[in-house]
Amino acid sequence: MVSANQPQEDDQALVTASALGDTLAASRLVEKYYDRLYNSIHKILDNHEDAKDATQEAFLQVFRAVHKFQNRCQFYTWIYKIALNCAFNLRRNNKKHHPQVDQRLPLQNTERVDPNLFNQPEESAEFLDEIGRVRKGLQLLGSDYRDVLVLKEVEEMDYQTISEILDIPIGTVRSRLHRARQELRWILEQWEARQSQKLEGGSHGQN
Amino acid sequence: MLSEERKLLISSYIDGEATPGESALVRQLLETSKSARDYFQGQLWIARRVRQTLHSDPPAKGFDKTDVLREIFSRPQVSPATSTTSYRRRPLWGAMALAAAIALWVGLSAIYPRHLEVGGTWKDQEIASVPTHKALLASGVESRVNRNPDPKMPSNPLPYADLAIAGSPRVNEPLNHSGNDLEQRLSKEVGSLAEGDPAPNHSGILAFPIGPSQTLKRVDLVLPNVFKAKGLDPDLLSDWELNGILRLDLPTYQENEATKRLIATLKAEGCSTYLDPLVEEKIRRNIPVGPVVIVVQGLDLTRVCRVVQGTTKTGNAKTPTNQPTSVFDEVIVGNLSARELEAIPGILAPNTLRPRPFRKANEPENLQKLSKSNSQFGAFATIASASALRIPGMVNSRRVGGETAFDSAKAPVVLNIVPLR
Repeated sequence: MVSANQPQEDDQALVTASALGDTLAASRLVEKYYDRLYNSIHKILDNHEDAKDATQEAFLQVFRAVHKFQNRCQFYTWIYKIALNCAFNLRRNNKKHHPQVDQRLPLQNTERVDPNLFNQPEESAEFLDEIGRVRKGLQLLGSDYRDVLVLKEVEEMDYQTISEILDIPIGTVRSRLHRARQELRWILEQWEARQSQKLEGGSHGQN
Repeated sequence: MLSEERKLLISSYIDGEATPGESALVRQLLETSKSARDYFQGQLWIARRVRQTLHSDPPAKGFDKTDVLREIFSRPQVSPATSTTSYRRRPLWGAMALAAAIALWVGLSAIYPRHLEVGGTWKDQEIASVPTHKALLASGVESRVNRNPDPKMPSNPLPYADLAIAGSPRVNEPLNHSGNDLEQRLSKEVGSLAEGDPAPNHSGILAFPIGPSQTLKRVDLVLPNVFKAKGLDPDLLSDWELNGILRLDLPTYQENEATKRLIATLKAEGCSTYLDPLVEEKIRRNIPVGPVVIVVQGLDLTRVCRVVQGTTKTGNAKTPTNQPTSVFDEVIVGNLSARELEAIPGILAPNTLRPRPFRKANEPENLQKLSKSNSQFGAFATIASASALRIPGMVNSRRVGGETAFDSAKAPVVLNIVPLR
């Protein structure tokens, strides 16, 4: 979570020491933020290797430019932005080289997500618990929507920070979040309706 | 039916991003409109479910940070332009960069053969590399001391004071070989001060240019009990062992209020001053000098601490007792053992500066990490911590007479207390 309560003082000391070439201070920053960053990026990329690459690349870039850190934002926000850029670059590369990997293309305003996208028997939403369904629903969302949702709900960033990190206007953040939730709600409702239909059908059959 | 605009408004309200006016409007809508209430409940429901789901996800993968750190720190530094490249493809880029560098070197050698000696080494090598302390010690400290005795101070408290001067690129090379335009210009300006002339006013502070500019102003307080670990010759250091050594690396030394205060503090502590004549001349003429290292020796640890704290014990009218005199904007203390922390009383309160413990410290794995953390990562104190401990002198420049020290570079002056083990 990026909040005002973050122990920013400690970070500043560690960042300054890192800028002075103190690798132990740099190690401390890695210790402190690696897991959190990796887990957040993993939720965006949904791929272990890519998330690991993006996270490490982010740390590498940060330590290369650590002397430029101006304390205008929190250290985590800074590295998160860099990690996100790395993640987006990886995603773009993956799409370019393996277009079939990412089925979640950005949606137009009038489009709706196809809830049948994961309708293979082993992936059928009916067999999942609630958390599993929400997770699968998130995977169906367009990447633009999922990114803002992860930033908002995982990192608990405010609109302003999301706007800065994604480099989009605040109004766009607001509308994407709104639409992401709408889409996800619609997907879940579809699945739940289908599940209750099946349950009803099953119970009628039994009767 | 709710308009899209009102839905967005409700969404912002749920996220806590609505303005007071918008919040009032949403509350009014919720009271009066059933569709607004339904929509609100639906959005709230999905927001909670998403939050629960994402937070309930276990860490996707645990890593051994040792491997991660090794991976990060062992990688070649590549330009940001290549940052989008996956690491899995990086070796290819590395090979290409190496080939390009070799080609460039061969090309330049062909164009500028006069810059190479027969053995292929650069004549003005000192520009390319900063000499190490060990190299400095090996390169004629003794001859320098013997050649340049200080008649005014037969019992020189700084037996190897000329170490710093020996480190100057100008010692073994004519000035016109230094490759530094400023040095060349100034050597003509100063003129009368020939290389090797005894410094006119020796008394305790050594100042000398040390090579390529540094990006940060850095002040190191090197603690005596870890000084050997810097790789210095133990025999040469035997006399230094009992003394605190304050070393200040400043990319730009300019005589301003802050540095005057520091030097006044040092003098008040009984430091004598040794100034390289050229540097002294530059300072006198208010020409920025840099990078500069000031080595202060001959102070016991308590007195070094007083200097670091920026207060003087023997105050006078100019620097009254307990008046802040520090030029440090920030203080970082790292990697100190408990013994070393105790050795600098007044600067740090060890108990308040322990590294933050891991969340689940009672687990064996984390206990091990915690122990490692205490020994390896040490404690870090910022100026804020120092202020909280009410340490006089540990203040930022705004509190030192309202003047910003070293404002030419707009960089903080950082005190970094580092035992280099």
